[in-house]
Formats: sequence, C-alpha cells, structure tokens
Amino acid sequence: MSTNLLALLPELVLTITGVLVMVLEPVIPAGKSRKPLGWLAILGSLLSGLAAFYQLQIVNAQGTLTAFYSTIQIDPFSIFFHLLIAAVVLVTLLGSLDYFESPITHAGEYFALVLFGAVGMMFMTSSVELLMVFIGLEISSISTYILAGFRKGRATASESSIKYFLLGSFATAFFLYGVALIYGATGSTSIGPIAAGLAITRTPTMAILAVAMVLIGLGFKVSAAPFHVWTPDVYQGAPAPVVGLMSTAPKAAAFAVLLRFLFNGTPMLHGHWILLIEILAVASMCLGNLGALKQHDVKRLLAYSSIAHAGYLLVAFTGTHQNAVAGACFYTATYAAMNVGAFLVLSQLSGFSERIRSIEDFTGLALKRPGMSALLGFFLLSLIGIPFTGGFFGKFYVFSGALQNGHVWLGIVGLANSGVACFYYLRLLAAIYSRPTSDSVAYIPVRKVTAPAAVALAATALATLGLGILPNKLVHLVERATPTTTAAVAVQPTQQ
Amino acid sequence: MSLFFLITAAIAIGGTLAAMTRRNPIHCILSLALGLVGVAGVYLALGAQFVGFTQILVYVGAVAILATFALMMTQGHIVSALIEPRRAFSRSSVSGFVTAAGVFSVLGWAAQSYRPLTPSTQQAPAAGAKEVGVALMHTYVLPLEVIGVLLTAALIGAVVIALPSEEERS
Repeated sequence: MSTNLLALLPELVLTITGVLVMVLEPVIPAGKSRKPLGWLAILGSLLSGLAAFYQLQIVNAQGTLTAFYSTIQIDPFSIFFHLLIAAVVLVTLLGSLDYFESPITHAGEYFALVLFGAVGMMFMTSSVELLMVFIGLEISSISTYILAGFRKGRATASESSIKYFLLGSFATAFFLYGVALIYGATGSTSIGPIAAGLAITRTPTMAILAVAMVLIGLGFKVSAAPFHVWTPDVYQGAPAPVVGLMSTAPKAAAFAVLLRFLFNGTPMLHGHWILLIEILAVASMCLGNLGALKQHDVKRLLAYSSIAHAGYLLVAFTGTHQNAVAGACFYTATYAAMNVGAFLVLSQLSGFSERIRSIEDFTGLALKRPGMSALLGFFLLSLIGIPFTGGFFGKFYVFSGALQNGHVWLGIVGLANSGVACFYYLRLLAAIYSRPTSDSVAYIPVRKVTAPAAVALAATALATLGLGILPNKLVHLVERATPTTTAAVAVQPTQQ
Repeated sequence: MSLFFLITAAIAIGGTLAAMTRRNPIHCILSLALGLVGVAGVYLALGAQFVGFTQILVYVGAVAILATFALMMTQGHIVSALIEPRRAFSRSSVSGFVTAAGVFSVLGWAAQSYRPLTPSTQQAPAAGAKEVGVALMHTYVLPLEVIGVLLTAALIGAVVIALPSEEERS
C-alpha cells in the first residue's frame, strides 16, 4: 500500500462507509427501520479503529509517516486521537442505534453525518497544514451543527442548531483570520515552516495576533470561557447521544490542533500564549463551575461541567511540552469515557422525547432504575475526580504537570474549583438516591435497555474504571505521543 | 498607494458597511455584492487576475444571487418587519464597536510594522490560473479532495433541514 493511502486509511474507511450508508438509504423502503445502516456505520467505525491500530504498528516499525506533500503526518500523537475518535463514534453509534423512536426521523442521514463528522475530526488531528485543519474543522462543525438540531420540530432543537451554527461560523472566521495572519508573518501555513519562519520573522506582533485569533477560534470549539456562552443552550436542545459525541470527539480534535499548533508551530511565542492559556483556563474553570451551581436542567448542568473540564484540560498546557501532551491526551481520553457514558445514561433514561430533564425529575430514580442510577452515579463521581475512577488520574496528571512547571497558583485554583464542582455533582447524586417525591418516579417511563446500548454503557464504564485503576497502560502510550516537527521544508510546487 | 487601490478599497469598505447598516435585507445583499466587487478590484490591483475574476464569478455571480433567491423564497419582507429599530448606542453595539476597534487597531499597528520575511526585491509569486491549478493539483491536492467530504456533509445537512421527516409529514 502506498504511504499516501496508508496515512489516510482510517479516514478512507469512514468516508467509504458514510457513502455506502447514503447509497443504501433509499434502497430501504420508507417506514422500515434504518437499523441495518446503523450496524454498517458501527462496522465502519470499528474498522477505522483497526486501521488506526494498523498504522500504529507501521509507525512503530518505520517511524513517522508523512503524506501528500507534508499535509498529513501520522505519528503516535495523531494515532492516539484517531483511536479515541473512532472509539467515541463507535460507542455513540451503539448507544443511538435504538434511540430513534418508531416514526424514523432521518436515521440514515444521522448515521452518515456522524461518520463524516468523524472524518473531519480525524483530519484535524493528523494534519500539519493549517488549511487542511480548517477543512477538517469545517466538516466536523457542519456535521455537528446539523446533528444538534436533529430533534426537529422542537423549539429548543432549532435554537440549539441555529445558535451553534451562527456562533460557530463566527469562531471559524476567527480561526481563518489567524491562519491568514500567520501566513503573513511567516510565509507558510504548515506547522514546521511556521516554526522556522517565526525564528526569522521581523513582525512578531502580527504572529502574536495570529496566535490569539487561532486561540479564539479553537477556544470556541472546546467551549472555553469566555467563548462558552453557546454551550448550555446547544447541549440542552441537542439529542443526548449527540451531546455525548460533540462534547468529547470534536473537542479532543480541537485540543490536538492546539497542542500541535502551540508546541510545534509557535514555540517561539511560548511566553505570550502561555498567558492567554492561563486566562482561558482560570476563566473556564471558575465560570463553568459557578455557572453549574445554579442549574436545574441536568443537560445544562453537564454543559457547564464540560466548560469547567475544558478549563482543567487547558491547565495541562502550562506543563512542559511532554507533560502537556501526555496530560492533555490522558485527560481527553478519561473525559471522553465518563462524559459519553453520562450522556448515554441520560439518553437511555429519557429517550428521544427527553421527558425527564430537571434534577427534580431524577429524585428517587434509584428505586425505579437501580442499575442506571448506579452507572450515572459512577460517572458523576469520576467527573468529580474521586480516586479509582479515570477522572482522578486525569486531574492528577494535569495538575502535577502544571505544578512541576512552576504554575502553583493555577494548581490551587484548579483544586479549589474541583471542590466547588463537588456541590453540583453531589446535588444530582443526592437527588437520585433520595426518597421520591409524590409523582417524580411514577412519571419516568421505563425504557428497556437494548443489547447494543448495554454494550456501549459497559464499554464507557469499564474504560472509566480501567483508567482509574490501571492508568499506566495509557500513560505509556501518551508519553510517547509527543509530536515532533518533521518536514520543516514544504515541497514547493514545481513550475514548468 | 495608487488611485485604483483607493477607489476599490473605498467600494469594498463602503459596500460592506452598507450591508451591515441597511434595514431592507435585499439592500443588504446588493451592498454586500458591491463590497465583494471592491475586494475583487483589490485582487486585480495586486496582479492576481485569476483570483479577482473568480471572486466576481463565484461571490457576486453565484453567492449573492443565491442569497437574493433564498430571501425571495422565504419572504424577506416579513423578516425586515420583525427586526427592531436599531439604537445607535445600545450596549451590544457599543461593546461590539469597542472590540472591533481594539482588534483592528492592533491589526493596523501590526500591518504598519510589517517587514517582508526576506528583504530581497523578489517579485510576488504570480497567481494566474496556471499557478493556482498547479498548487491545487500538487501541494494542496488533499484539501481539494477532502472538500468533497465537506460538501457531502453539507448536502446531507440541507436534506435533513429541508425535507420534512415522516413524523412531520403524518
């Protein structure tokens, strides 16, 4: 297989599966279940994960692969994120296979959009050319804009989709503006040449402005404060499995871009962007946790929690290069496991119509759904960061990385915030395990948990638990993942 | 700074300003088209004929017309009636203005202090149809191909938004 094809293998598998889903969709008669298409999509995401694993073997044997004139770079870093995205997509698809209630609402398109969105996210993580990153970002964003509004006909769904779309486009414009400015300052849009160009540039002001613009654009995508205002409204209106997906996979991809861009592309400006990262981290942690305190809607609560977690993740960036990459990778993996798990439980409990929403609706849930309550409780404990859950080690690596690099006050702010966060997670947990008020439990319809959803729930729970008990396996992988800058000189097109 | 540049820049800025401030959506779109013609003029002034004419062909010719049609089909007069009259010194407009002024003053300062990377008297690379084509088929062949995935995803999205689901039909 040629290097070019090998470097694109996971994305190719997903694209072909997505196209197959779309081609087969009209073949299935109207009114019939679209579940076979879901199984096809699941097979595709499984195969793409295997393809990423195959890439890992090749990279272990031959070293970093570059393809398409140094547009794509396949190293342990990008393979880690490919595996993570494939896993999140697989679990989301398993969990949403029986999510759509009988009058099928564009289920075929749903599966295809999830697959195409994953293609974009994967391209973001493996690309070292900012133009390619931009296209990946757009694919992933457009897919999630549509997925957010999938519960059509409901006012919150339309609000969710249109808010996400308008503000998201605005943020993408900032990212693009940053790329244009960095091209002006360094003469390139490729990570390696940007680093080389910054060393000799005579306009550092423009480069600093460019980095700030890129930070605004990506800060929006990872819902870091002060670019977070869209998050609660969008998460509230979007279908629960989609929120699980879009609060983890696109964020992981955006964090991967940030890690590559800041540490490999603009290490010369470290002193400037570290300050911006600190501001973003502190603002996200504080505004996220304080905002969550007064929420009644569980999805809004988890939205504010995801803002806070973006803040914890940004703390990782203050470590040394290797610590930052290892900490951020580990944290994205644990956050993906526990957050996708929590939203899967929500989607299983309340179904497509999402009749139970507020914390009051959850009062006494443990009596009626003991298994689901235990799972949700476990994910909430992991989100707090209780030992023996993945969340604990995630926070541990992030904060120890920051402390080692002398950012003591960031560590203190982070730990204080973890304390504040206990309040609202425990409030939900206490509601679940308290005596039911008159009608709250009777109100909850019992939906049978189907086999695929059970597999998905088990996978996320095991991942969260496994990362909390045996973190070493992943730590070894992520510590190797620190990307290096190869291909410092882009191949110029030959002029004939 | 040549006279041609000044005229085209004035058209670009004036057009986009009008696009933001007009109340009638049709006027907004037409002003935006004018602004895009101005940007195309700047490209032409820089010697990038291909990019300039593509700008006119795609943005003025296709995008602006598409927007006009979309507006006519969705009864834009209702939209314009719904928009509340704008107050010049509302909180949002002042904060927006301050932010924009901040960003653009820093940008202007950065552009003012701009020195080219290599101080040689090297000519800017030609941006004709041939050069653009070579770049697209060579260095940027993967982004070009992957835009296909982007368009597919956008098309599926349009189907999901526009077509009523079976739930809505019944």
